[in-house]
Amino acid sequence: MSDDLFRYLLRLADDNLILAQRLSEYISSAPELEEDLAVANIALDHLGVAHHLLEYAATRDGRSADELAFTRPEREYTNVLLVEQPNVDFGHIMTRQFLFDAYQLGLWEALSGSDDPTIAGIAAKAAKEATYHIRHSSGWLIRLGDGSDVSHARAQQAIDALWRFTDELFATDDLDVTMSEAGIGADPAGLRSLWESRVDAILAQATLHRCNDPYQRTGGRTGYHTEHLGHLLGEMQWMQRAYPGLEW
Amino acid sequence: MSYDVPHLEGEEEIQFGTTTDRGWPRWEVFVRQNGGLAHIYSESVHAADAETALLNARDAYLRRVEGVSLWVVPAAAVTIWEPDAEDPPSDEAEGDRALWEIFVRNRRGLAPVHAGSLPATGAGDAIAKARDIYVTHEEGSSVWAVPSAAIYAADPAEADALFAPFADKDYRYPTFYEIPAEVGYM
Repeated sequence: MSDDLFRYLLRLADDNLILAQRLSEYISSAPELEEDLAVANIALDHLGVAHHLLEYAATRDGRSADELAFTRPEREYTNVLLVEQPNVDFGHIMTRQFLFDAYQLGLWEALSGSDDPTIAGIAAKAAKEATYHIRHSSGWLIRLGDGSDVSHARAQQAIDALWRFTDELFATDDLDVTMSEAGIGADPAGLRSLWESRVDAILAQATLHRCNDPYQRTGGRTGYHTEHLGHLLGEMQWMQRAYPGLEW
Repeated sequence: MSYDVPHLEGEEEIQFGTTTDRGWPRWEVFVRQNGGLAHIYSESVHAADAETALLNARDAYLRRVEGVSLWVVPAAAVTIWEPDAEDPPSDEAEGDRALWEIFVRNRRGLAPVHAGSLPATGAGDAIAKARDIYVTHEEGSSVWAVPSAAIYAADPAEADALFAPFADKDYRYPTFYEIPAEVGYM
């Protein structure tokens, strides 16, 4: 059971840690200084959630939160594939964020009622942040989709490129079942209908549509990642690997 | 790390807004802090629309102060009267009245503070009235007048999402970071 909780915390943390790193890569490249601040701020929110979850996970493991964050090999990261997808352009970044925000908002709302008080506490705070995140990302998706021909095309391109990673958000495995039956976790499958209604409502406003291609990819939860994660980790981990235990 | 950005046909033709100096128009930001009595001017942001301006203002100006209310207003909607300027042009006294928000800056270098609101027929009328009502003692005060309708405000119901997340992030203050002894005084 303790190992199950550890693995569950790790997957929640990894989603946020990897997305924080992806967003951080983009800082200084946003269309306006103000948007740089927004992206940095959202990245910090995700990093903060990852930090809290990893600190909790570390109490059930021999490794520290920093060691968990920075020294695991790629195959031990259990984040969903969506969050590791590259920052192709601003449309991709906001679409990735929106699809994930809609998922995480439902997740944190559900986990706010967790029987584990630490998870419930982290989730309650994260739900407030996710409420802001989705306001920001859905606003941009509407603005881009319902904007110029070019912004519309780019936003639809992003939807089409990222849609294949959305089934994975709601794929339930044995760990999810165990944790939700224990009253600690949330069954991802149960979050899907709320996600779909949130996403469809925004897509309609944005004059965008779901991807028509039914192809879906999964594997992140078991450590099988797309080719992008290794490069991300190379940059994220090099300092701790070069100078183990380094502190500021 | 870089990725190829797909190039789309017609991309060079994108035209941004109507301003020439920056991509997006400027918005003035006013924050009321926790325990504060009034909204205080907090510099500006650039944004394509009011919603973006509000979110940008939140990220830019609420990181280091504990805000409880946030207003943004298009810079173009702000009429500023400086004490060494001529009297503001008077508006048609008989015109339709609308509500105006008045901000007063008591000294150069201080931020304008929300003083109240009054009905006026236009910017000139609003400033003339504001000088009578709010600027009785301070000779050097300047006055900002903003049509109330031009203000885009954070909904109090959304305060949790807009303002609460900063509360537990003590690393947003410079005092969070320990300065190594070798650095000495900064």
